[in-house]
Amino acid sequence: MKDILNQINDVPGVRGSIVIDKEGLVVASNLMSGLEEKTISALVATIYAEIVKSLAAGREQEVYGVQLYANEGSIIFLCASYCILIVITEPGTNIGLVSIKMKASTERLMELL
Amino acid sequence: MLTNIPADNVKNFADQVVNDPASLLFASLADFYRENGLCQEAINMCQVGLDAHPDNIEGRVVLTQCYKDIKDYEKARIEIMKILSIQSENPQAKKILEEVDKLNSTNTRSGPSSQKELISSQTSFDSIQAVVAENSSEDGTVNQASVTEAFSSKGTEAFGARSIAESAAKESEDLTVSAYSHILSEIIKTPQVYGSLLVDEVGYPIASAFSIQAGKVDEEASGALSALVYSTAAKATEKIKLGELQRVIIDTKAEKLFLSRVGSQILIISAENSAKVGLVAVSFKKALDKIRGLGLSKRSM
Repeated sequence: MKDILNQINDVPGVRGSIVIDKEGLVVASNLMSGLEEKTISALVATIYAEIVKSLAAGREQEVYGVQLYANEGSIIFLCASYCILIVITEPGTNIGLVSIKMKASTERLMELL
Repeated sequence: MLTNIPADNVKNFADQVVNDPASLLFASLADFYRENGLCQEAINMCQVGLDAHPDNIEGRVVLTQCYKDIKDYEKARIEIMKILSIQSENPQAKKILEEVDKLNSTNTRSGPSSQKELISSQTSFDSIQAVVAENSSEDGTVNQASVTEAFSSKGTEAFGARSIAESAAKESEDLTVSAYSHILSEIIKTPQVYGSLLVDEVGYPIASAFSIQAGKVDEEASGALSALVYSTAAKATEKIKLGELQRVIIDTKAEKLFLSRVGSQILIISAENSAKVGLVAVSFKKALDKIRGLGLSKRSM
């Protein structure tokens, strides 16, 4: 699992990646210094739950992924059946390339879990 | 996220309210009746509910909207005053008051000829807040009877100046809402984009544009939920020390949602799941720039 995260982290501009379950518990992580895995995992799980609840107010919708763009970086997360893959990037990172790597990694992660 | 309210929820509400007319669910069911044209039934339900729960703001807001819908603006204003005496900053009450004033002003004659018109002519937010503050005790309790009397006595001297100022403000605001609607209509011309919604920071709709493909959309629910998601995400990015949130893209099975803050408002775009993210992002950015430009030109007026 660490190898999968290392490959994502090799993309220029990526500051770290984490795999969490849908309750926010960390499964695996590979973060640069300055980033706290517990904070990130808890907040992403909260955002994911909030989105799912909001979408379910009308009809059920499956959430594939979310991208948050802020002044000093971005958080991208992809949702699989049992887990969420989170990547934190610097501003100006090629998000398209990161997304491709993440999709490939999610498939490999599902095989492992 | 731009979706309908399921019929099962309505049936559950109805069952509970029929069994207990003083149930706290009366406001939701009454609002549903009102939206479906059954204003008198909604009014009756609100009156029973408010007898049991006189401080229920939601129920009183629904009652106000019912009176507005049946064009009984005097009763609508009385209910708004009751809400504002409890919550002087209630945004829903302020919005309805503005709508009632606008509707009432189309029937206004050249001068005040009745006590009703004196009160209606003076209704600006600043004046309401000032009067409420003057008639509140130190612990914040508001004397409702003296608030109503204060409006009557102040009406005569304030009528002339306030009428002109309020007319100009309303005209400016109408133009702005029309400009927002035009910008949102331009967005939905982007291929595979079928809805755009501009809401204020608490989620109340300001303007919207939807294509036929979007179907029936509950703007208030969509706006409120989108604002909630955006504010949660904004707090998260600050806690993770990534700075201020600029944009959110949510990819779901049914659609892609784009959310961004522009000033104190939030712009939401809904597109098909297969939409080209980059193309939608370009339209999104153009719209944000135009909305910012509107805000700047309004401030310079």
